[in-house]
Amino acid sequence: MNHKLRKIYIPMTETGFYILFCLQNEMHGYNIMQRVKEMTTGEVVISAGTMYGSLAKMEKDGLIRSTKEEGKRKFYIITELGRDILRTELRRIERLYRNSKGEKW
Amino acid sequence: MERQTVKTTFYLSEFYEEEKWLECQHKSGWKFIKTDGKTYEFEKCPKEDWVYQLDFKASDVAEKDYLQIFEDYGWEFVQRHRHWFYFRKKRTDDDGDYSIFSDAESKIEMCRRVIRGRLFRNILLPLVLLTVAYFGASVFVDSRLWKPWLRSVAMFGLSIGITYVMVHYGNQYKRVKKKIGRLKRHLE
Repeated sequence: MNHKLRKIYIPMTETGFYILFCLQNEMHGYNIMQRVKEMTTGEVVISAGTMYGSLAKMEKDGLIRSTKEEGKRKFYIITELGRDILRTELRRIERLYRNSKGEKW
Repeated sequence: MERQTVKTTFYLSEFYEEEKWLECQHKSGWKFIKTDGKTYEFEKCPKEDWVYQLDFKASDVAEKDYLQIFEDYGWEFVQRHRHWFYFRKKRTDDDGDYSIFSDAESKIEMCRRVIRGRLFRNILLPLVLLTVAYFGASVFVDSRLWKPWLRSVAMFGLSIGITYVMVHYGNQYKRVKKKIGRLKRHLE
């Protein structure tokens, strides 16, 4: 994996994590926001500008790619590189969680 | 429709102040229509509580997917002035989403776009031009063609110009930097 990208993206922000996590399925920006709202019972809301900026940055860095346009909406899906980053981040969170519970890692 | 124009200027670092000001105007029954940076045009409307938000884009193009995302979120795109995009949304009773940026990172990112996008151009370009003019005037202009006092006045004028640009934009630059610092400490 690209080490520079790993440094930039890990640990991920809550916004970044949820966007990348959701994009394991093909979605557009507003879809992602709704999905995240559901997943967190309304606690995490990603605003329009934040969503647009994150998607643009992740696409530029190759973590996601755009798949199609329906009307003016752009759909995205995670790439292999994105999956690598997500896996690394999930491992980190899992370790964090286990350690917090006093379990052996 | 009754309209009015208001002359006012918001400096580069005053985007939050501008948002607040537009909200106040709307609350007192004047809906923002457009601006050229110096004058603001308003249309008479019911006195309502609307949220105004400004985004500074690196490119001054409104890609269609960019505007679509804001529309999906219920933001009305009012206008673009250079790199600035103006959005508004009516405040209702429900606990809605009234900011276009939901985390400190994306707010800081916008401040950085402002610095990269305008401040450098605003400081560097005028400074280079004025300095070239200053030295050009002092070295190349044949002093016989100039009355001595005229030359002094020109040089004085140019130095005032250089000082103004440095102080004014230096100050704006510092203010945006300060905003970034505050956002980093989650104060804004």
